[in-house]
Amino acid sequence: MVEERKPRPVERADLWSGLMFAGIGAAALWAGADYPQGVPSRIGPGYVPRLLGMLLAGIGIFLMVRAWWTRESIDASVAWRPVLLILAGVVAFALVFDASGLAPAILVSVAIANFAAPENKWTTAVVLGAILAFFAWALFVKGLALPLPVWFR
Amino acid sequence: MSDLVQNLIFGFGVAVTPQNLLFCLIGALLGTLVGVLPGLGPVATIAMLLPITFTLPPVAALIMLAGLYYGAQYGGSTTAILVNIPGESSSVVTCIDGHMMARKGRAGSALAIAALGSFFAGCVATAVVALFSGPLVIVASSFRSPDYFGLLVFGMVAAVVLAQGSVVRSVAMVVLGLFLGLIGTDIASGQTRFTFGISALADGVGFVPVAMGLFGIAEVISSLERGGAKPKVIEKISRLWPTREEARQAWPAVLRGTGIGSLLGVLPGGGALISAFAAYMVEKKIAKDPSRFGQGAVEGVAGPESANNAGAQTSFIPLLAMGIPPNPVMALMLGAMTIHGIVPGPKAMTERPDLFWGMIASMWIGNLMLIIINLPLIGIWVKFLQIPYRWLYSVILVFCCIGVYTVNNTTTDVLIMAAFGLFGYLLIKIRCEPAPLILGFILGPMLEENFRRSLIISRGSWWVFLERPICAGFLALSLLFLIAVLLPGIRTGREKAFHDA
Repeated sequence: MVEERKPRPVERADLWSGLMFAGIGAAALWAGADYPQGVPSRIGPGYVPRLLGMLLAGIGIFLMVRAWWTRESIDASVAWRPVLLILAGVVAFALVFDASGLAPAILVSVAIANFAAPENKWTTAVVLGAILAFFAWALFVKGLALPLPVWFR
Repeated sequence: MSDLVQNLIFGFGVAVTPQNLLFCLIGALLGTLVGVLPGLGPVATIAMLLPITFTLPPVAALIMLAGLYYGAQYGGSTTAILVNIPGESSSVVTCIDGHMMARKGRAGSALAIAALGSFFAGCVATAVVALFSGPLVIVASSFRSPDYFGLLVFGMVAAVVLAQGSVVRSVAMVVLGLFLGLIGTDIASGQTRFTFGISALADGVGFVPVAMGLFGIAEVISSLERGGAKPKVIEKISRLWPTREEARQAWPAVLRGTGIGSLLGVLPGGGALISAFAAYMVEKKIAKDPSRFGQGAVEGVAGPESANNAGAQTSFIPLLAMGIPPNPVMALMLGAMTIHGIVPGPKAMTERPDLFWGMIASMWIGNLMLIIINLPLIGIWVKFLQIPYRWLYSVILVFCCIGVYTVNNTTTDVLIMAAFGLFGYLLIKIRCEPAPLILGFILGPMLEENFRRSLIISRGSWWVFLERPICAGFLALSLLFLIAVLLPGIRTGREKAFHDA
């Protein structure tokens, strides 16, 4: 199956990025509110975070205001298939690695990420996973002697 | 002068040991491969290779990683010319005229001009690094905290001005990067900041998972979205040598490109990418007949390809002389040095001359290897180009995971990489450049440290930043840059420059 993806242009790139920056800035000011400010001659751990938080929130607000008259368009469509499958592949690597070691982690991770490209089949996943697992074992464990658990400790 | 010659001879002595030659070759080969393959850049690759360098002696490790970066500049042009896809971001502009030459049956000359131009630029840039790092070390050793603060601010401003896209958004990205750098335990007070009670964050967010997420994982997702999995059309190579006429057109462009790249590489925020853009712009501007550009102009290949290699190499100067990485690749080099217990900067040059001069000498040897790897052996790389992306991306993914894991032996870093992969995709969507963020992230802790120390020296007075001429100079220069880039005239010129190229 081949999906045709249509770009969905949305104007106001400034509005969305401004919102994001202002939000992160505000969150940082809130989260860092309790850190000691210190005195100017001996600034505390909260001094620089507060400066940066105000700067970031300020820039964010500026961008949101500017969005009234800028018209830069962004593509608002999301390629869900690669986003979800690639990220799931990485997360699966982490989880399976902790549970059972390098080789299963590679096999599972490739088995998931493989389908991010619609034209890939199960055979690709199995063959590619097996080759990669062997190669990683040969290079990292045998060749470089890195202490990686390979298969069910 | 005789010192320099002596040092270089010493450097070559270090670089030609069989082991170092071998790793120089491995670096050059891997660099070419990474350059040829689209969707895989030097940042992600160096991060993947960090675990390998644990087991190597530091000199061999750094020689290999350096070779990888400038090697990628050679390989990137091959894909740009033959397939019209930039194998490397710094080869974007080479696509325009390089691919046009290939379509007109002159693929061989385009490849040869790119490789020979890169080789010439590499030789000159190596000499520049050797000549200027020493004097710069002497200058840097007189720097005090406020001066470093000024330099760091200037570096970030320069990175913003040189980045593509909106200036204001790039400034915000730098600030966001500075924030990420604050996460973890404050060295001066022992206070943990922005860890939200997660113990894994107490040591801060690692540079490698962030960089791999933004440049590796996000890039894979984005390539798949753009249909990177589709098969490519590869142009045929006929005669692998430029005609006399082409050589005559190429030479002056190679010289100019080398100059531009050597200069822009040293700037903070500079490096291969910006050098290539600038060189293309200059060539187009001074050409007698600008309409030839886009139709297969030889200068449009010779200029940028020389510039990106020169820029890649001279960007080592700020790292080696001052310990300040001007771009993400150099930040990884800094990381690699730290793993081996080396702190780059004025001291390292006197304490580890083998490392410093060995690496410089290896650059020249590496360039010599690369010209052979890339011209007579071009057929092999074309074979690699035929590997479909739908297989390749799983390989990239697995190596990213293993690379990130092995830096600290924790899967938490793999999860952090996944999170930054998602964030990187979001940034691509809302058109924010990740490069300024990474730079802020690396420089953040240094910036806070020097800011704090400056205020201690001055007993809390902010005037300290204006009283010292070096610091005041950097700050004035930063302000000038920011004002200039926000002025309407220059702003449209800058946008046009990135748009044209």
